[in-house]
Amino acid sequence: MAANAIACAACSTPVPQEFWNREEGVRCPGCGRNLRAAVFPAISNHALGASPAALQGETEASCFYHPQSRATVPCQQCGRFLCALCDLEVDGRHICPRCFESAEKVEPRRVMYDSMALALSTFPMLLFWPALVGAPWALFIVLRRWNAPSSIVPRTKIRFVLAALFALAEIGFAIFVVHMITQVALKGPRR
Amino acid sequence: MSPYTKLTPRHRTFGGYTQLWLAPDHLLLLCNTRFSEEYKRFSFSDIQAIVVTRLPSQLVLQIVMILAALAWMCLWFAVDSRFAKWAIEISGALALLFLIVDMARGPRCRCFLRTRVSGELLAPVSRIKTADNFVALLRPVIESVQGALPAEGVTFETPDSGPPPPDIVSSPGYLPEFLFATFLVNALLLWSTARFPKVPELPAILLNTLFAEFVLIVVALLRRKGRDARVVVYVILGLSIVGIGFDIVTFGGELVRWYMTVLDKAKNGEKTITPLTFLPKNGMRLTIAYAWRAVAGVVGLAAAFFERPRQT
Repeated sequence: MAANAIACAACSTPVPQEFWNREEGVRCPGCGRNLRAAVFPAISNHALGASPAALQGETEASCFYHPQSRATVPCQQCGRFLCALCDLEVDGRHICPRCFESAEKVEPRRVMYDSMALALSTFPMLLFWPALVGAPWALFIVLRRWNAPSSIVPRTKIRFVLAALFALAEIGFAIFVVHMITQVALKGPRR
Repeated sequence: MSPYTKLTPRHRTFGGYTQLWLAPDHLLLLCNTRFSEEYKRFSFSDIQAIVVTRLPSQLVLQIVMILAALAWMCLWFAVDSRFAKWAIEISGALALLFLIVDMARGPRCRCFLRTRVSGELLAPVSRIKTADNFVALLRPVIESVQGALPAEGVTFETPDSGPPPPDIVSSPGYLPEFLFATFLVNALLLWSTARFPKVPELPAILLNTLFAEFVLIVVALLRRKGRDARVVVYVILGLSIVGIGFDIVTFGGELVRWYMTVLDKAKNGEKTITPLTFLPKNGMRLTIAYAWRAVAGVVGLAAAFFERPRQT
């Protein structure tokens, strides 16, 4: 990325180099607002996309995935020869695309079942009758997903506990109401 | 045991929240959308820059909102119902509390994190105080990985680029035409309130269409840049703002008159309803209001038609 990638966060005007890393802040040349730009040495890393070298002779080793390209490095996981295009450098190791895919993946997303269960045990109560569906469903999620991976940042199971308590209370109340109605129906009308 | 430590408070929106966490080797941007979380990781060795820009002060708006909340709470004297009194006071107090907390949190800012391939808006860093703490905490960690930027600066090689790509000309859309049609509808409705004063539905419809007109003007002017090369259309829109301003001043006067009448009636113990009108009926102001809208609507539609670029 070039120097003009360092731009004001409000108006996107490029911030000149002389304004970088000024603790007191400077006025943006575009909008005049106070800005601070903390810039680090990675700014000078402008490696372009790699293009593989063509195979010059039969004695040269070729890439496993691109037979016409010259191999530059072996994969440190599976040993296959790799051209400049296929060489993926991860934590200082050179690995091929297939080994990268099969490696332990970093999760970009997780489902929050505890929030789901808590919502199912609370929001349907606003309309009363949907709680007859929401409460058992919330209880099912609590039991089924109790051990499912939660957030990668610290998070307690309080939502699961609250969802279970609310759901049990709603189911208990529903059973009580049904019991009362049944009792009244069995006793019959008063004479 | 989680390797993450909290870096910023949650930045809440209607759909969830975002938050920044610090790991031993990367920065984590957590985006919660109520029932799921998405994670974006920025390795310390990849972070090129963090830019924080202070946003304009909203002190004037905050003071206006505080005065509005206090005026709202004064309606305690204008209503009889106990429920209404307490509802007004509690809602006004909550609004006041929110405004005071907003002022106490300090000035706002915008923060971008730059890497080689991306520029990410860090929404949790929305206040100057948070930004100062964030940068102070993160800088030594990043510099422990990358080192400090040399004092003499860095030099950049400019890659040999070809000719710039052609500009993409976007279609101007039909928002101005829709707005001028709204002017005509409002002109007709305003004339109708004068001609048929006993129809109660007309003011209710007018409230919505006048509000729509205001919103459409703002959106049309904001969307113009880079999309619409027409000139006369936007000159007419700009002049229409003067007309709307005139109407807003008139309506403001009616609102103050209504408010004072309600307060007087409350003091005297009268319980009759005082209707609120937008513009004084059968007056010159009402005539001006529908006349300028009719002219702006017709001229605007004609200008929009003739100025629209023809497809070749």
